[in-house]
Amino acid sequence: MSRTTDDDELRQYAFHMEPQLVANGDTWTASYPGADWSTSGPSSAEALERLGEEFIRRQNAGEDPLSYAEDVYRRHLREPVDGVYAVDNELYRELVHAPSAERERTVKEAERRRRLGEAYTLSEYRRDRQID
Amino acid sequence: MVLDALRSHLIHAGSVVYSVRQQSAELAKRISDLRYEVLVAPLALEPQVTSGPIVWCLRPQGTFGNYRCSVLYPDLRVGTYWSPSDDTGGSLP
Repeated sequence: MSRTTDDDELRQYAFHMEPQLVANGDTWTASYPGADWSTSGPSSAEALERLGEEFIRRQNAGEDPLSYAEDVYRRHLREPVDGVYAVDNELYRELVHAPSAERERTVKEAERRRRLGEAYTLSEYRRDRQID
Repeated sequence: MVLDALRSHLIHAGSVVYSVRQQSAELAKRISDLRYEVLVAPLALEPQVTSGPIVWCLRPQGTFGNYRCSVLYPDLRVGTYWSPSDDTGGSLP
């Protein structure tokens, strides 16, 4: 099966997602943007905790908890989806073990620039850090 | 004549009160039927499911060399990226 331009575009980026919380009466539901699965609990903290546990459970069972996500990522590149950030892949690899605040600041900056049609690569990130 | 006028005002006032009461009841019902959808970012004191990022990588069929990695952070944010190495690893608390 040949790769399409769409696939090539998807592979330029890493994607970062924030959990979303929705309250309905006394029940909180946590999920990732566009996900086909979610978890619930009597508080936001419990719903989030279950989200993490379910993510780990699925991974360890050999299921991909983000199997649905490619469609969300593709959609995000056309029309921004709340809670989703597209980041240059090489830059993102640098951020995986970075302090959380640094990672969050950088993925937001990368997404902001992408929406302006500007690139934010690993070398640009490193240059910015030297200036800081 | 004055009494008639007063009576007429009273009747009118009564209908205004009745109408306001009905509107209030309808509004109260609508408010109690509302389903609140509140989108919030994860809290600062969120549960720590992991003590650091946990990474799972696999090499999809048809891709040469690159692994597709998923990462779960302690704050429950997640990411996916491509890596030339198998970065699988991480720890539970």
